[in-house]
Amino acid sequence: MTKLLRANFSRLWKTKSFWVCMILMIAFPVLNMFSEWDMNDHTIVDMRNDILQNGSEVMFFSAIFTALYLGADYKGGAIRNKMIMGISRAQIYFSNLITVSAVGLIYFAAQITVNFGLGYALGGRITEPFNPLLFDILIDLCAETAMCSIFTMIGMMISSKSKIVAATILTMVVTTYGSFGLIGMLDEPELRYKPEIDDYGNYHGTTEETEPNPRYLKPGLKRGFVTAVCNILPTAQELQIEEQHDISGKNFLPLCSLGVLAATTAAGVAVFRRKDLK
Amino acid sequence: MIKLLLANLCRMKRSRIFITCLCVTFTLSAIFTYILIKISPTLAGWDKIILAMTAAPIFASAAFSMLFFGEDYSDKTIRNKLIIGRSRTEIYFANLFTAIIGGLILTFAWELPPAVVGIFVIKDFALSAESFALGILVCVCAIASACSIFTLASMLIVKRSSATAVVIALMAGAFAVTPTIKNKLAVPQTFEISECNADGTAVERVFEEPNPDAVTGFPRAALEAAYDLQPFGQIKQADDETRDRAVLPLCSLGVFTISTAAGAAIFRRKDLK
Repeated sequence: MTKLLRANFSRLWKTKSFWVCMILMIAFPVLNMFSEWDMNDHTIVDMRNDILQNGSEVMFFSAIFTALYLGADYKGGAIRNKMIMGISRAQIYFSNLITVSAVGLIYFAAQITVNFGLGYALGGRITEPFNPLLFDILIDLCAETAMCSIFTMIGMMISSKSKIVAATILTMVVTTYGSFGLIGMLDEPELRYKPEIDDYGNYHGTTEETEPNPRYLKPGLKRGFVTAVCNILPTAQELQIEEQHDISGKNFLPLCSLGVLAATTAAGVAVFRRKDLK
Repeated sequence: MIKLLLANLCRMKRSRIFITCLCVTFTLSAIFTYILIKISPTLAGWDKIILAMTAAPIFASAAFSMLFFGEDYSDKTIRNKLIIGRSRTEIYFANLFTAIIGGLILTFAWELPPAVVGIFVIKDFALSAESFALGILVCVCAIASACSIFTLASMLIVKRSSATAVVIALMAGAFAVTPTIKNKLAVPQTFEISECNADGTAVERVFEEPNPDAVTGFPRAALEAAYDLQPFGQIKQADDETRDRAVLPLCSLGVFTISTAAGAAIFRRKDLK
């Protein structure tokens, strides 16, 4: 498998999509940082948010890269060549998973380096204790790896490059917006201001009185289920860290990512072993 | 062209790509609707929700168009069509209409669960029938203009996977940017300042000051154009009764005409190898 990994990485540095995604991914934090600097009278208030704000972009570009990189293996007949050389399907799967995860981590490290370096140069400092920040970065890293394992599973299950592209990017879009919705449900306040509605049914803002919010999820099975889904979905984990949510069971998030990684890898290997490569 | 269109529709009916897009769209919509009514049973204005939800099937339409027409290149169907005497313009327009029909079917599949729930269960509507019909027209035109862009990309870029990645990524970018544009445009350009007398008991003068946070001039015009011309911006405004929505279908028509004219013109000169 070492040889496969070496071959994958030597192909990686020559892959155009890797560098295009890298450049676009670095452009996002640079633009964000300068926009924040411009809006806050040429200062960076707190670099904590900047360091953790681009996790979704990292996942998005990882999805595009994974689809194009793994799809090329099928298109060029590289997978069959590898098997002819006597390499097992499991080895091929794991080498691709490690390569794709490594790219995810490279992208993540690149955006953190850019954010940290540029933020520091523009006068930003980290005002909060360092350990919680490091733990948040660890959660993001684990979520990114888990997401890469999902993309690898999709990429190894589908033989057509363009279908892999559509499936991975749409998975990313659906899980991201699904996560937004789920986090929004958990964020609903228990009480809300009473709406002021006249006899004709017209809305005139809110009154000072409060009433129970019907959208609030009461502690119980529903809330427990939504919380569990938010803790398991890597995109939801990332968004909760980005928006500094009070996450219940935060210490277990890396374990949830590990679970997603194990489950998707097991499913992916099992399907790929039986797959007709034509 | 009718024959080409019928052949395309016949192929679409049996296409695994289309069936998959249809099933995924319907299932996701059913799950989404179920979650909406379970979590927020008191949602008012269900018709507004139906209009706002129209943004999602654009992604399915993008995937369908890019994969379905890309096959024309990979299995050389385009050359066969030319050999039997079809003109390039006919091929382009047949594909365009297929993309629009496919997009509208996918949209219908997406809207079916919330529409059924809205009509038979919630029965709480905020818009009048005319206003809702205008909203639907805005959404249909937005989808048609989006499909014309997908057709342009799928007919001009031979590398199917790269074209799919670029188009879906651009759509995701446009979808993500739309609320930001809306918020920037919503910032009032001026704000009222009340000047009181010395003891603060009465207002002496009320005057308006320009809001420094508001976007003005050329950047505002560019943002307004981006908001009105792109399909997600149009759909976002479909239920907004405070603005003149009749302009939006015209914007869609403009995008549709320009992209179709450009696509057909370039496709005529394209080397199909």
